[in-house]
Amino acid sequence: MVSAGTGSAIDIVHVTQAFRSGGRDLPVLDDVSLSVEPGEFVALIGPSGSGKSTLIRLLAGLDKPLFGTVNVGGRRVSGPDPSRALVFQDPTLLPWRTVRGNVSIGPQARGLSTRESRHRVDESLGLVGLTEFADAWPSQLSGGMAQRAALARALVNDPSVLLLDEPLGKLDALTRRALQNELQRLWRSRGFTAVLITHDVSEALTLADRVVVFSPRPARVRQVIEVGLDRPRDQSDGAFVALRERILGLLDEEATTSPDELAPAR
Amino acid sequence: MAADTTTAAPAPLKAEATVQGAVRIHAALEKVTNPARVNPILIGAGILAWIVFSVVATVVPNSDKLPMRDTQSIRATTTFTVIAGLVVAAVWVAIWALTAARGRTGAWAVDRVSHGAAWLFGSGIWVLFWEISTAKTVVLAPPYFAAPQQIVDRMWADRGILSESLGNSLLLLACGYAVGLVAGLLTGVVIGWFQAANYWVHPILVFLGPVPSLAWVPIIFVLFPTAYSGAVFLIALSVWFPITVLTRAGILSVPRSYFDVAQTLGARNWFLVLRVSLPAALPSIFTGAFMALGVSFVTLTVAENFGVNSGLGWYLNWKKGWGDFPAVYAGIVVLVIVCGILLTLLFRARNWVLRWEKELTRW
Repeated sequence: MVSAGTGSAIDIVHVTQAFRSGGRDLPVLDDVSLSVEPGEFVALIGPSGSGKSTLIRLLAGLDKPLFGTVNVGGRRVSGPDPSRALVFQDPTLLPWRTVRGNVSIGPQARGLSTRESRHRVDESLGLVGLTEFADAWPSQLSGGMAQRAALARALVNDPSVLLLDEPLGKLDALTRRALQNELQRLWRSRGFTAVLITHDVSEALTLADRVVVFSPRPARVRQVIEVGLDRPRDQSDGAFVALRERILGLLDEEATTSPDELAPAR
Repeated sequence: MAADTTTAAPAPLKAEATVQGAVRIHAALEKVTNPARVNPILIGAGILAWIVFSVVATVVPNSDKLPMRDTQSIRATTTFTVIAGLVVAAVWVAIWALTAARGRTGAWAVDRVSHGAAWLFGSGIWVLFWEISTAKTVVLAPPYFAAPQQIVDRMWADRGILSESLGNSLLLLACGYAVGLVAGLLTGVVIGWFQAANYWVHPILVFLGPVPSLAWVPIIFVLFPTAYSGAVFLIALSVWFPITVLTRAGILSVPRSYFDVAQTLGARNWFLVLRVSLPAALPSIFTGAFMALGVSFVTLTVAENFGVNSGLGWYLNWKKGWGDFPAVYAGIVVLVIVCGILLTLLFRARNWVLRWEKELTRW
């Protein structure tokens, strides 16, 4: 295994983001500020459509905020960068490339030859247990395997920040459990900073150091919860259950008081 | 890792350990998954039709209403035609016999026979009708209609000029198609990628694209220094249009998430164009390539009649001028065969390039 990279600090400072949809201005993030320590695992949780994905796209550098700044590793984010890897809910593997070909995109895009990158690609495939399926086409993979391939592809650049946009959202419970363990193991061994969007409160509490609860759109940080439990975490543990109830309570409260939910924007 | 089933290698199916047993499962699967069946009546009728054709061609006397020249032409190649008919029948008898064989050969033969029997019968009936309606009864009268033997006769008599024409046509087609393909891909990628280019080029494309190639002939032969370069351009133009339209469409329909992923992995614009957009657009580009091949054949026969005095299109026009319709049909047969071969090759290429599209075994 190559030396584990060290995570970067993240600083989100008074970020406001809005879109124009159907002739209407739609504020999505409202003055969001959040700091993440280097190597920390943070989970973002909130009602669907509350702008968490928007925030993660800003962190990836795929969009620019209307107001405020996003800093990663002490530098302002101005565009996508291989040090900040992104894994989506859909694996979005390029279907005309084999698993190995997909994992090789990172090194290839940065101008490394196949020979130079071979070792890194093999290592990345090994990390997620896909060595045997390196030559399979994405259309042949099960959901869990495809998401593993996407994870290997993100890790091949040895990122200092791993952005996870609901990566386990579409998987069955069994595969999801397995991949949660996998994520935890990778995070520990590689030392990257992780930002995870999830709708699953238990998942957030299992993996994260802190859980950030967002309000409905336009999203604000409603509460930041220190998990502070020893790993590996036991979901039936009293403290775990108490935290889950507390977060679910916060989300329920939001859901019932949200005017936006009653009049969804088109 | 104990709960994780997704990384386990696919275990070989152990049918022996099942309740029904391997033999019964195999037999049941055989019924369900192998619907290819040999229909003895159909394949027998097909073979019989071709034998009857051969017999009719040689035994039944030709109509005495045929002009002398046509009768001679038919007589000259009747032996060949009869043998060809019998060869078709014999080949299918052999394949039919092979269906009794075991293993791969048997499976191949069953597949051929079950798939081809209806066509064998259909084509046998067709040639029989053709032979009787022309040579034997003159229901379809010369000079506009010709017996199969006459076409064979013309192909043999003109074999020198036909093969030379074929070579010239293929060369012209290859040049025009290659130029049109490259130009179409370039234009398609540029207008699919750059909004400003799309603004100017797309309206021109929409209005000028559908203009038939024949309409360009007068301008092109004024503008181009040689007739040959004009002909190449004419074919290239007809290829360029469908390739451009479908490359553009393919590139515009690439999911944004592909670009997002590639960008976060460090991809710059060149990578996004050549390694994301273009491969993603390939299924659409191949559709364009098929359309272009069809159009290019039509344009070829047009282009060869203006200044380029060789090639299959020119041959057809020349023979038509003499009223030698059997020769025209002979030229068309060559054209159809070549067109079919090229389309098949393109299909093969497509299936190989887009092999990732196929649903293979899922794990």
